[in-house]
Amino acid sequence: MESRPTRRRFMEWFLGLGTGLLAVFYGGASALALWPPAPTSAKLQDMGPVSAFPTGKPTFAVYTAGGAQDGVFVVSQTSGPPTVFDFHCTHLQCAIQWSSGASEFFCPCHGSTFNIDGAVTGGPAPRPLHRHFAEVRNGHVWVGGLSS
Amino acid sequence: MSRQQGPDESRRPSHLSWPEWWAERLGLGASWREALYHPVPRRSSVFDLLGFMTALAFLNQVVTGIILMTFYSPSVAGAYQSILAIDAVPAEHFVRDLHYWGANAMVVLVGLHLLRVFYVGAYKRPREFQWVSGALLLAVTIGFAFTGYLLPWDQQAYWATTVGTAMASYFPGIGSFLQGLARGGDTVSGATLGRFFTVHVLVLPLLLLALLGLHLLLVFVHGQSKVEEALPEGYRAKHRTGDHSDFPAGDFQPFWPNTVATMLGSALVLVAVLVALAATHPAPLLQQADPLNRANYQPTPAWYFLWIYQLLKLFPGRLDILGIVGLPLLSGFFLIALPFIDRNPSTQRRKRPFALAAGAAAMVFVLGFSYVGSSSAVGPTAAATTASSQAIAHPSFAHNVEPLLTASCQQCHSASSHSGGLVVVSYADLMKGGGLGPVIRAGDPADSLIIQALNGTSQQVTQMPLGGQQLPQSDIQLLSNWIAEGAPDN
Repeated sequence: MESRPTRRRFMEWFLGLGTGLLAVFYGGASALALWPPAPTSAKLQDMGPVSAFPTGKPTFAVYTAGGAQDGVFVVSQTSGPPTVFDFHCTHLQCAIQWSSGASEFFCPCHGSTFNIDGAVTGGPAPRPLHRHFAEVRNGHVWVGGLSS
Repeated sequence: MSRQQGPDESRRPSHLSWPEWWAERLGLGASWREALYHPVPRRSSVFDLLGFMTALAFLNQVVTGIILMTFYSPSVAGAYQSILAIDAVPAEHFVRDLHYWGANAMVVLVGLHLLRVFYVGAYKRPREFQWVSGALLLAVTIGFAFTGYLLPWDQQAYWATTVGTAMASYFPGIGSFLQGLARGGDTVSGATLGRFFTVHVLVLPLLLLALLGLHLLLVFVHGQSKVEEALPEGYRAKHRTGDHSDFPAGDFQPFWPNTVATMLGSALVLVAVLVALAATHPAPLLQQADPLNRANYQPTPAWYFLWIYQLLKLFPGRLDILGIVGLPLLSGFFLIALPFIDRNPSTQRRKRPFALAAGAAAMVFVLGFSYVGSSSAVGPTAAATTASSQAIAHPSFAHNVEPLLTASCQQCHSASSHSGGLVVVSYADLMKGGGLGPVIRAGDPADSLIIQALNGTSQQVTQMPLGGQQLPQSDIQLLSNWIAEGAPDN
């Protein structure tokens, strides 16, 4: 049997490899460019003095993550760092609002409600409010990316 | 050896008509005759024109889209401003209105075309891939609508896209990746706008042209099902060879010019309708997109997504994935694979009771859910309805109203800083009112200055809280409910 590659076999092999290389090159370059960036969990931002955030009452604040503005609710705790909730509902990410009268967060889109600890108290939301990383440094509240 | 070509030889010889001259150049043989002069039944209905009218609506989108693109700037800083600039020039505004109504028309027409083809069973052998390419064209049309929605970069665009892309995150396993891929990050941002713009003006048009080319080629190959059924046995095969000696007389007319004239007529009607709609109902534009939603905007779904919006309310908690991912995927698969699922060869209505009943049930489902969804959707007019369902119906002053005033109003209206002469620390203070008189008219929330101020509808004072975020509608509604019940000190 002839085991040496024939001219035709070489051409077929070359065509397959060449086409594959082109596909991998353009596919890979596109994927690299369009791949979603990792969540900006490490980026910490000074949100102001602890005194600006009263205990037991969510205060709306702006977290600028990677150039885009994101709303957060800061809730100071009697001890330890404040709890910082992302202001997107965990159902379909509409903006939640804090109702002082009803003492709960509510989402106007599909009617989900959450208590001051972020737990679901009503509506279709499948999980508690997402939290941002937060800590207190030198009397100031620092907030980072999503931690849950 | 090159032959010297005389100027006369490239001219059209007198024995060739223009179509013949072109057919010779393009190597079309006799097929152009078949395409132009094939017999079409004289009796036809407006439903026969739906596919053509869909393509025409797309042509409207191409022309108006190209014009809009010359003025539009796909960036966070420029998008909304460029739409404002477009709207400031009447001719450009009109082009945007035409694009807006053309998009709606395309969704309507592609839907009606699909229903018609389903009703007459025209998706059956040998036209399975006409149906498949048509179903994919429907998907591309919805893709156009979804990506185009974001481009004006107003509140509706931003929040509808936030919700729409959030739905992708429910996909098992790769949900967050899909959402990130669509958005180019965690939230809807300039990266999302860039992606949606590119897909809207480049990727989808190329995809649509490829699919439409296949769709039309198949129409040419297989003919329209109703025409084929009406033609005498064996006529088509003979006709294909270029033999037109026995054109079926009486009930038939040639495609050119008779049917084409009807098509042109339908084109004129469609364009007239679009122009009338554009002239009387301009394309909407809300406030510029605000990722922080300071004005508490509540997004509404586009009308063709209302049924999904309503459907989602049926699947509480963790079952949401069924409504958000399961059912849309399943219906999409079913729609595309229909010719291979429905194996009943008959196209006669009497012989396909199950398919027609299932189709009718699906229609009743979609229309019914859309109707219920539209009457419950949150919008400028319906906001109060939803807000009232969120708000406490019988509020107490001590438990509900006082905490609200403390949290939102006392920064300016306390005993020490009685802005406008108003103090809202105690029940008596609140009822006394301020420099403009009482702010509460017990039993009449609409006539109470405090409600007008919170809603920003008062002629006397600016919107409250001054310089801050508008209160949630549920809080304003709570106050209204309390005033409507006589503003009791309970």
